[in-house]
Amino acid sequence: MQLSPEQLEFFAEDVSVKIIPNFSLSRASQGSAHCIGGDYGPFQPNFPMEVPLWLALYLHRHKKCRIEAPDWMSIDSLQGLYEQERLIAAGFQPIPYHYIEVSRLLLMFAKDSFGNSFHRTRELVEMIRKVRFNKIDSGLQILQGPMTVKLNNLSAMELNTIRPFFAGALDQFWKLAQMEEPQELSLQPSATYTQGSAEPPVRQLRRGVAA
Amino acid sequence: MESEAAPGSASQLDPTNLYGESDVATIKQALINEQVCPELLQYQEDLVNRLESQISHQEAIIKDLNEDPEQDLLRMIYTVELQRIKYSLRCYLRARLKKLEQHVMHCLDDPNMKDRLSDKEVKYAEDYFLLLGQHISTNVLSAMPQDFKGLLRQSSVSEANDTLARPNLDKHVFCRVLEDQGSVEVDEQGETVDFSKDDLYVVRYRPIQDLVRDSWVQLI
Repeated sequence: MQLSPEQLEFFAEDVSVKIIPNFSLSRASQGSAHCIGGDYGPFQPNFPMEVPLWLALYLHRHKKCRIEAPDWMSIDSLQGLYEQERLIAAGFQPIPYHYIEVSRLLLMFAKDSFGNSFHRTRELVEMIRKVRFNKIDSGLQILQGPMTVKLNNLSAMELNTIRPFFAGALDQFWKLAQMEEPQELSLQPSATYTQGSAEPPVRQLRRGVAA
Repeated sequence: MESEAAPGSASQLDPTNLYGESDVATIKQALINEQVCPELLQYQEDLVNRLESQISHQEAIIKDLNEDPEQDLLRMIYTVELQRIKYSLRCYLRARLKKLEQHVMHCLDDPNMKDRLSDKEVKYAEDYFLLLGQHISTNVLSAMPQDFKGLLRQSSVSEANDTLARPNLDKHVFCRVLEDQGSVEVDEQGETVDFSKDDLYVVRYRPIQDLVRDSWVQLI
């Protein structure tokens, strides 16, 4: 029922980033890579182009390109985001769905993409993370019963972190709401139908419905 | 929101789905759906077959490139991508097998559920059920009193097969709405919630079961 953080990072690696390659591929393949997921190229030295993050990181690791930091990671953008996030207490600011994964990968493996703003960028992303998580925390505290909740603008990593607690709590609330009276363990077959569904009568064992 | 589908035009190898997404993006979503959903979803036979043929096609290309040392980089790019796709495929199949093992009796019993399995999965389920049954029978049920020896029924007075572990459809899941759905009932009491495009919700799985099956809503 759970996705691992590594899996989220794997998914985030499909996000597009701009790179500036310093190589070109042979003419035999039209200078492009014909991958299953799409055609990437043609690669020409000093010509900026877009590729998925996994490819950008691979090429960068082998010193074949420079990665350009995405627009939303500029100091001004992040600063604005942070201020909006603090200003508007209800709801969350629109932010790239994989912002945590992408920023982590770039800040760790492509430091040269940020130049002098590296430390400030890292600091700002941390601050934004903290503010958003605080909001999530206070939102979770007002959970009272089984309900459907709108979560617009939450990011993948944030959702995944609160998934066990949030979904688990809602599951429990729901289970409690379904119980009219405490079920007693009985040796006689009792006709306890669940919710008018067509399921056959099941004698309740103490542990309840199989999870 | 940044694009999550593979960039660039689709190569001649892969058709695109309704949203113009490549097979790579589709298997990714399918695997997320399977891992997060409490029940087994419909097996994506076409998608898996297409991917498998694209994978072997690409493997042949890589093998050809092996002879040419100038093509090292290209070969490595193809190899890395291939590893990613194989990983996605494996995760998808493994998530399904895990749920299959949890609910094996239910999947074999209910024709609706059995329909959602691939042929190989059906064979796996039958074999697994046999092994499981033998194991439980010899180690546990043989020591139980006469009336309680059944594998499928709790006791001889049970009216139906009630040891079947049915998936719990009342679990809450996170989902994203892909198209406006208007008011959706989330409750037996008739409470409704407005599902607009790009909304994210945490909701009980049962009311949105059909929406997920028809891809109006995706799990996240």
